[in-house]
Amino acid sequence: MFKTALMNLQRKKLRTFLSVGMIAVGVLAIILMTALADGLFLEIKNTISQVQGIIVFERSAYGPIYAQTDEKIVYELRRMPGIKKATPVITALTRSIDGKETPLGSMSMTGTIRLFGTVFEKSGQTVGGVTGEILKGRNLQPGEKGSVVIGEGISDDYRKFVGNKIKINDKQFVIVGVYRTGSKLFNYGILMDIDELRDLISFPKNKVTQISVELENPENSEKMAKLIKFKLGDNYRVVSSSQFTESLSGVLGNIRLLVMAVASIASLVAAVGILNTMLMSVMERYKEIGILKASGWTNGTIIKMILYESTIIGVFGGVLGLMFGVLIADYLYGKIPVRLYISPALAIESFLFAVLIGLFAGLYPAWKASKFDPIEALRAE
Amino acid sequence: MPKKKVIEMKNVCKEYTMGKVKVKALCGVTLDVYEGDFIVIIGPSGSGKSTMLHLMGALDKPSSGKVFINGKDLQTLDDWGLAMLRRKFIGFVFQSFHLIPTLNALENVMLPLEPTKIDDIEKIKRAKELLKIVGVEHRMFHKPTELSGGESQRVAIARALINDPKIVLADEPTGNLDSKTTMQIMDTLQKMNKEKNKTFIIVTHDLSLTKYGNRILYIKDGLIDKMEER
Ligand SMILES: Nc1ncnc2c1ncn2[C@@H]1O[C@H](COP(=O)(O)OP(=O)(O)O)[C@@H](O)[C@H]1O
Ligand SMILES: [Mg+2]
Repeated sequence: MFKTALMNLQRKKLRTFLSVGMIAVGVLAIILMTALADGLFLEIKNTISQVQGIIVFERSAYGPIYAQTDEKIVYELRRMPGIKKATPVITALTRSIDGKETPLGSMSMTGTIRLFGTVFEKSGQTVGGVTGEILKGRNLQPGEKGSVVIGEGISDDYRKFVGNKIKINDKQFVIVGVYRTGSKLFNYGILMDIDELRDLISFPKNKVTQISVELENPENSEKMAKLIKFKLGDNYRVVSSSQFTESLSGVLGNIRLLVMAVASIASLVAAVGILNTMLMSVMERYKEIGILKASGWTNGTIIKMILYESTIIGVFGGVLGLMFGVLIADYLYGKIPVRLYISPALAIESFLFAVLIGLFAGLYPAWKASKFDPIEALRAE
Repeated sequence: MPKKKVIEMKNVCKEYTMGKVKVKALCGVTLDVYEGDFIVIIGPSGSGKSTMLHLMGALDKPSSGKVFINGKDLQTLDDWGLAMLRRKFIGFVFQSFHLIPTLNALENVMLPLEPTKIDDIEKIKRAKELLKIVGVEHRMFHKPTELSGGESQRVAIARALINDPKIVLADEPTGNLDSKTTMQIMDTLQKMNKEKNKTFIIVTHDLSLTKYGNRILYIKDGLIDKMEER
């Protein structure tokens, strides 16, 4: 039966090919869009996982980057038990690098460069709360002026290395080190002394954007966040990294659903296309199906044959869509800031989806074909 | 030894409704068909020959009266039952061959066996054997478009025989063929009838074919007008 179905499909190669193509495009849409959402999610999760402990910032701000938080609460926090370290941090976006403007949108993944100003210590953490390693050169010394450590992303994109000069906004700095973190986003950062950054962007005295809190026991972050909130009162927002991940997962989960829904609609259009094709193909074979029935094919056998045909279209469409999806994801790897992440589950789901679309699109034509009256079919000379 | 009855028609009528008008295609036909019969049904166009053949081939059920095929009352069978009856006992040959254009002769012959459990090797063996008997073995890998009318009908006959049916029904099998080919095809059918003891029922309006039958049925206005036995 499989062979006969395959042979039937080979009769109108162009038509079969178009049906397969329609499914493939639907599957491709699902795969690429979902992979994009998944990749984005992974990247953001990576980014957040770099931020350990808790950040504290003023309540009225949308996010830490817009906040003006009193620096003196650092001392209050340092006195609390369970807190290992509280570091004032100023974060900002660059206006220009070497006189060339950089995009300012805080949500854009490319081109935006974040400035991190903090208090460096001998112990050598990279920037408050963000873990990373020094790839080349060295970290900043406490209170060191005129020097910066840049992220690997900037080093690559601007071809800047240890010893080079870099002009940030209107001021020249010397690069003393290059760092790397596990997140692309954080690799587009520049570290400098907190007072240096305050001067550079004219940030108010005694204010910082946020305070980064490191805990003695990181597992306790939820509990500690509540405690800090209680202590500081309603004027501050206290966010633990795990909370961050959770709320972002929620948002991204919804985006993923939306993306899949949109892509599924594309696939349903493909399904209608196949239904139409199969219906045409069945009508053209009116007499043939008549002779099959006359020679003892049951309604069930006819249905089976047509379903085989439409399911084969689904299988080929699925394979083709998947193949192109992987190829495109591979091709775009490194060319776009987000990796298109095709998980095994996504691959299997979208393939099965294609097969099911084929199967379902065949149901009506198959039923219709099974109802052909062989006498009518064979009379029509 | 009495001959075995393969088809029994008892006072069979077939009506078609066209809108509100009822058309009687066949009325009051009673007939017994025995194993090994070679029946020629003859009559003018529209007299009900095809209708009768369809009833004898389990393609249709009568409006009234009874049709038994191999002892089975058609009235008691559903679509599936009729299909299985055709699969086991019946082969059809049609005026315009109805071969599938994309399949070669061999594949066309094998097609009725596709839903069965018979394995491919056996199917091919049977199909080749039949193509040899009907005399088109040398054309078995040719598509229908490459076959002459006579060759196409031979392939169709082989297809009708592939399920080893008791009864072969042919509706104007030579209607599209010239007189020389007609005689060759009829000889082939007669050979199958004699050698394999299969029952043949041939519908035609060609009077010259009556010489092949052991029984000749003359149909007029949905009735058996006259029956000759030889
Ligand atoms: N499906 C149908 N609907 C209406 N009338 C039909 C149908 N099939 C056959 N008839 C009528 O029944 C009569 C007998 O038809 P048929 O058996 O095909 O005759 P024959 O084969 O002898 O030419 C004709 O008058 C034909 O028009
Ligand atoms: Mg007729």
